[in-house]
Amino acid sequence: MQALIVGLLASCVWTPVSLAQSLGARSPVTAKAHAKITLSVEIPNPVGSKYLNLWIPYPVSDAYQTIENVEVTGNFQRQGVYRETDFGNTALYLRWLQVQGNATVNFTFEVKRHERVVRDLVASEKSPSILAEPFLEVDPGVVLALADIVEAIDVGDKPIVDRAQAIYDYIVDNFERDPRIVGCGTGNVPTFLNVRKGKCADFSSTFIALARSVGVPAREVYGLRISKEAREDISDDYHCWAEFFAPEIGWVPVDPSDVVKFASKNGLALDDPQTLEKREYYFGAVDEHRVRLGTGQEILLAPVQLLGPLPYFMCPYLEVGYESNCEGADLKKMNLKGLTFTAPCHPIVERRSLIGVGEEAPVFSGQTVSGESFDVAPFIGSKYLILSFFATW
Amino acid sequence: MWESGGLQKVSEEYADRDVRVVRVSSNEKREKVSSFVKDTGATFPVLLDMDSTISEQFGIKYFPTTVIIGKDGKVRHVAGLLPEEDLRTAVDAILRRDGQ
Repeated sequence: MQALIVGLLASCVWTPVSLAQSLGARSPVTAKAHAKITLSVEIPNPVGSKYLNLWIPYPVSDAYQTIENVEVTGNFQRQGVYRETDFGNTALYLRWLQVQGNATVNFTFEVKRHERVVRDLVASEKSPSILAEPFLEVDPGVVLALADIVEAIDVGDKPIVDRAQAIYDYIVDNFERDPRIVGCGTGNVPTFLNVRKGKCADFSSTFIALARSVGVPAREVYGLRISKEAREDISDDYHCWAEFFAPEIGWVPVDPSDVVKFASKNGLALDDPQTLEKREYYFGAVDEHRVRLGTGQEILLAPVQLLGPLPYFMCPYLEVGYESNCEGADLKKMNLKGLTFTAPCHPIVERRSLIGVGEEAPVFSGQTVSGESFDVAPFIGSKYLILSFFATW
Repeated sequence: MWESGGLQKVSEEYADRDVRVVRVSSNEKREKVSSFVKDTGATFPVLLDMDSTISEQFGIKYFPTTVIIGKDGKVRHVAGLLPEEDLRTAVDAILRRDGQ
């Protein structure tokens, strides 16, 4: 597959509406943040392009955040908010059908966010519920790489909360933050285990892989940090953390990356009292300075993208369709200020209009869900056929 | 799902009148379609149309879409969401017109 690089200008403006209470509040009244964010994207018209499809993570309200005053403006021709069904990620989907000049969009929303604190973690002996089972799946490609660590941590048949704590401690104690890495890192577990340095995607994906390896259901959470002060550009503020599932408690947040970041940025040792406070805090809590965007891996968006599943959906994702042969165009991933865009070369096939009454029905064949071949030819002209076209996205 | 029992019932009840049902699932994962088959007990063919080849041949742009084809191979009815009763009405009308 080939693609053309498209230049892109993106900026984010973040304006706190009221500042939060201090981080680390343990009172029943959790800390809050209230801010307004504007994501601005400008895509210079790629030569030869026929259409642009853009998916932007669309935050939604939940128990810990309220999203309101959403505004979307720009010169796109189609827009919608869609939710994919595998993980429940929501995206603002924008489509430009006639690209003349630059494609632009401004996406603004206000967020009221609460700190999330889960304390008094009871070390239940119960097994994870059946609902959490999908979150125990380990990528076969990393099992071998994790084997030594799993043996070293030796959680045996400890309760789930204790297993999660042991993994959290192992990661905080054994990995460093590398500020030179662009964005959130790649989240590639074997690489992180080798180099022992990374960023939030590396920390959280490794926590998740290790947790799942010892029977602790875990998942990633993608978000944006809420700056404590107004900023012109927050496109470096994407952040991810993790959650594990504890029986009788539910999903528990952990952010080992922010512990290591705090120590590293402040030149503190891991056993410094301030670091220890953060370490205790981020096992079971996340601060209010973040907006939750979504979760999951290998994500098929809605409407579905052309180039297959995304490793994760935290930044906007762009696909560019070309009118004709685009051989010779370079396949490159754009990465500008933490926003990663992919511009695949996808020659457009003219689509026919909806078939009408009186037209000859096309003859088709395919494969059934049970893997058998099916050919409609024997039925056409000899039977009545009811064709039900369905899609659940 | 609206069609869960309806399509299967129509498939069974109209089988001896030369009516066949085929479901075409576009952009759906095999596991999801499998659970549809399991949940509904569908005995009619359920095709996986992962790359939308089949739906594009018919120019399908919205889902669900129902297409009824006559015995002569020509399209007789095109509709969106067709609840069971409406589907029966449409099929009955076509059969009646053909003297079936």
